[in-house]
Amino acid sequence: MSRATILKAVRAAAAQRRPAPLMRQAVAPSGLKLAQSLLSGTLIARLCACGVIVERLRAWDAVPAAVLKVVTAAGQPLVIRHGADALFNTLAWNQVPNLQRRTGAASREDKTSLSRALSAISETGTLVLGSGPDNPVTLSFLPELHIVVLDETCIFETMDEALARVRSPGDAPQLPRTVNLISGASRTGDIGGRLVLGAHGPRQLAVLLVGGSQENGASEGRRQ
Amino acid sequence: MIVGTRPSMRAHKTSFNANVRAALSNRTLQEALGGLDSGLVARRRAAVDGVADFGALREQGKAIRDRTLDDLAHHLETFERNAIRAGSVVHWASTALQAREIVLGLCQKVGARLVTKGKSMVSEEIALNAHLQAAGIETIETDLGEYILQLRGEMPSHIIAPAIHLTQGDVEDCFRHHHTHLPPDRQFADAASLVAEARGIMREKFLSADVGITGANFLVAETGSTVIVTNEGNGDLTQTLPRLHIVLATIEKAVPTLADTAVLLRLLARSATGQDMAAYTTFSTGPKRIADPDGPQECHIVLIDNGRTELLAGQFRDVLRCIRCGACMNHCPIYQAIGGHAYSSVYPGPIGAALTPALQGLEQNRDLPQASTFCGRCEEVCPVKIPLVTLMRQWREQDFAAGLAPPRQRLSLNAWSYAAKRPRLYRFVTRFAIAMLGAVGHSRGHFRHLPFAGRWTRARNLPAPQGRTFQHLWEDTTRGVPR
Repeated sequence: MSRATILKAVRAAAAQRRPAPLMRQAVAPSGLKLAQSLLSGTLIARLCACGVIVERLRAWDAVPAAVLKVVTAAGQPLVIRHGADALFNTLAWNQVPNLQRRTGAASREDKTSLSRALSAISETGTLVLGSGPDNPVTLSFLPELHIVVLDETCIFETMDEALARVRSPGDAPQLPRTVNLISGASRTGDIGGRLVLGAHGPRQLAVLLVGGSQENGASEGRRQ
Repeated sequence: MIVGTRPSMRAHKTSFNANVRAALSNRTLQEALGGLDSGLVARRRAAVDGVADFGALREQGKAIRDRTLDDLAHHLETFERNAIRAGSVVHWASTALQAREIVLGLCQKVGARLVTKGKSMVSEEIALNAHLQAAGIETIETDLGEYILQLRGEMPSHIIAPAIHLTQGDVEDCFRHHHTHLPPDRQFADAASLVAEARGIMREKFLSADVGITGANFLVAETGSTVIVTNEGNGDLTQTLPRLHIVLATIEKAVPTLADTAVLLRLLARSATGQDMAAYTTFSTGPKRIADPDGPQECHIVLIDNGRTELLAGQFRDVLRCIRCGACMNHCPIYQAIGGHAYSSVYPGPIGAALTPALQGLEQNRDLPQASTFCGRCEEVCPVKIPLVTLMRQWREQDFAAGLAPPRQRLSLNAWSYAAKRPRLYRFVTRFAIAMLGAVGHSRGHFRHLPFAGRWTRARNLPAPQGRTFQHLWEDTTRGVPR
């Protein structure tokens, strides 16, 4: 049986050697908690450098109007799909009566999806999403335009901290079925080395960063 | 060490020297390779410079991989236990043949007619596509580069940029030739229009496939997750939409914890494409859960040995640290000159030179470790500090010890070694030769032809020495200098 053969051979190989000295576990680069504004600024800069549209919003109230704005600017039909996340039901969608909403997994007809990120990594400009009824994983890959809302207080410097938000604590951590670290729209360099967006997944990624960000207040508008 | 041969890994092999000659005179290939330095190499540099202490990060990555290999059986068992807990089925395959049979069996059990595949080097290694196609199962590569190569009937020429040897014009010709259901007079204005055509075709495949097969960059032991890293999102559509997801991974891909994986991910994309992170990094843990509205109904993970346990026990063990970023080939002057196909190996470049002889036997691959200037750029950029030059040198030593080199090469090496061990003789011979060459070549400054060096002078001139050896000059300059 292959399993027993392989494990026996692996053990035999290990028995011949002296184990490498134990190194300290992987650690966060700084250990210091950076100021929220610095984390946000770095995240926004990295995302923008990867062609992501970023809108800063002062409060959750502003999400529906911002979604409509992004959908309209992208020239997509005024229909979005999102998961069962209770957050979305608390938003004032009546401000944007033209925008239709559907819930559940994405299908081939869906052009725009809306997700909530569980956390984000400022060091690399990465959003962390978890799958489940609240956020079906197809939302992140089938539509052409993916809009992600992110609470500014969920931005961390490193992947370790950001993953800590999606795993259960303890020695045998549980994760959502898929954890998606997303750092930009779908892209390829496979044709003549030229960067082209929209290979198989979304052609555009937009982030609505929600937080009472002090200095600038309301939406700063599109940054690209 | 005992080196097993696995003939299934490669259909045929042509002479390396002939491949090199063909590659050097292939103008489109040279054009395509010409972009490496300003592209992947420059982008990696910029990404690495953006990290406070990349050197320390590499040290950490190396330590994590070493520690994992030291206790690999434990991590594999932990991975298996947690993967099963999450609802995955774990299979073990000692050989490529067993791995192919397991995958085919799974596909047949669900009556699969169409299989989509994410990019997976191990699937190339076990020659999976041919096996499935022979059983009447249509198998489609979904990574754009791999798809183009599948249409052209070629092997990848790079482990992360498989179609790096092709120009936009090559792809346009390929699409016109194969996509015959589309209007023949359609225009391709730019690369984006080619991507759009492939996207349209691939969408239908993603949505109608019965089985999705992906590789895994890492297997996270503490969660039982498999990790894939892509820029196109093809791997995610491959593993999400069909009812059955099969993951192929060789056993050394195990990583103990999420924290360890985070370190390796911080190294991977920066080293590979010069991105801080690829567009999509996905941790998958088991099949669709009860409340999930999407995802595969079954998830099967095939853990493949195919030579890894032999490597683990021997002197080439360090190659198992590899995280498959491709930086070693991007930075290799040989790879930059000849591209990946000339190596006739699933893994080209320095990592292939270190790995392929172990997987397929040295005798058929003895040219690979010779195809290096030993400049060491590969080692300098390797994110897990694999001593590639040392490993290639060890292969050369085995090659010589086994008497695989052609007689003329052996003769000259033996002659050189005889002289090198006798300093007076060495000094006499070199002084004589250099003086002669200096005197003869003095007027012109170089040689166009030289006996015994015809191969060298056929492609370039040999600069004429100035008449004295280094040792000679050294003696002069240090004479009278107090020690």
